[in-house]
Amino acid sequence: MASLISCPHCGTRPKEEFSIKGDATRMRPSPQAPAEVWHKFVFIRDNPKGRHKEFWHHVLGCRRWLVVERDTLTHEVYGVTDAQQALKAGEAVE
Amino acid sequence: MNGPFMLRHALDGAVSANPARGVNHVEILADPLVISISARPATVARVKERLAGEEGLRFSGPAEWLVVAPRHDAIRVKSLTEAMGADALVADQSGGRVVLRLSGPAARAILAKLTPLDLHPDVFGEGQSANAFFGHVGVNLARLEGDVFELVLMRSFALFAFEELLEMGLEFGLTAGFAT
Ligand SMILES: [Zn+2]
Repeated sequence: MASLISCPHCGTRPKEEFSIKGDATRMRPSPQAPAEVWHKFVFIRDNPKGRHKEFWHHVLGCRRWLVVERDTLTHEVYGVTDAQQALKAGEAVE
Repeated sequence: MNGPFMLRHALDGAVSANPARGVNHVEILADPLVISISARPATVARVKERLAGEEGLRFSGPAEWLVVAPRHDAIRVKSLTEAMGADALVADQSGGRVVLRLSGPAARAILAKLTPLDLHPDVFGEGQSANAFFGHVGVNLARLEGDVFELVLMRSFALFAFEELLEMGLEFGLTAGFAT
């Protein structure tokens, strides 16, 4: 147990308690969006090296979705927000 | 105990009928009460206020709690449901959970092998509770008093978690049995 995430609800916990969903900057397109947009949303992902925002689900803790901003290279964590709050603040949107 | 699956305890047959009781002991509650309470986003503050001081209250998430008691009590389920009204969803989870009580001077050392939670009394004091990793499954862990901890587990994971607990307690002579 090494990589630690500070959950705003539960405190500092190891990554084993979480499930990582990936890119938190991508928003679901409207149902009417063209197929290319949907294709991009469902299948195409960057694999950034460095600072990145990801959805983390605290499965074995509070079971809340979180937005974790961290460095994918060094695992330095810059911030953890409840996804609902992040959405409200417009943070998860690129 | 024979009979229908739902009436059987998940840990039936996992311990001997007349177990020895050592200083480090895990007690299985035969028929505990576990209620989950989930507040609506708009009513979290109100529900929290109403639940303050409720006996056996356990923190589960920012809008979610458990109420745990040693004996199942249908009247308590009903009265909590009525007290919460439309502000929160109250569900009797007793049939789906297994409740254990771990006690003894080595309780913390045993738990340290299973959960990443910091259980130092300065950080995790009496009456405190948390959802956490336990072996490979989830647990709601509470400190009832000094060396007494309560574990609420999913019924289907309970045997695994229980056997894991016994194995980790082996070096401390951990004993186990149903509560009498
Ligand atoms: Zn959490």
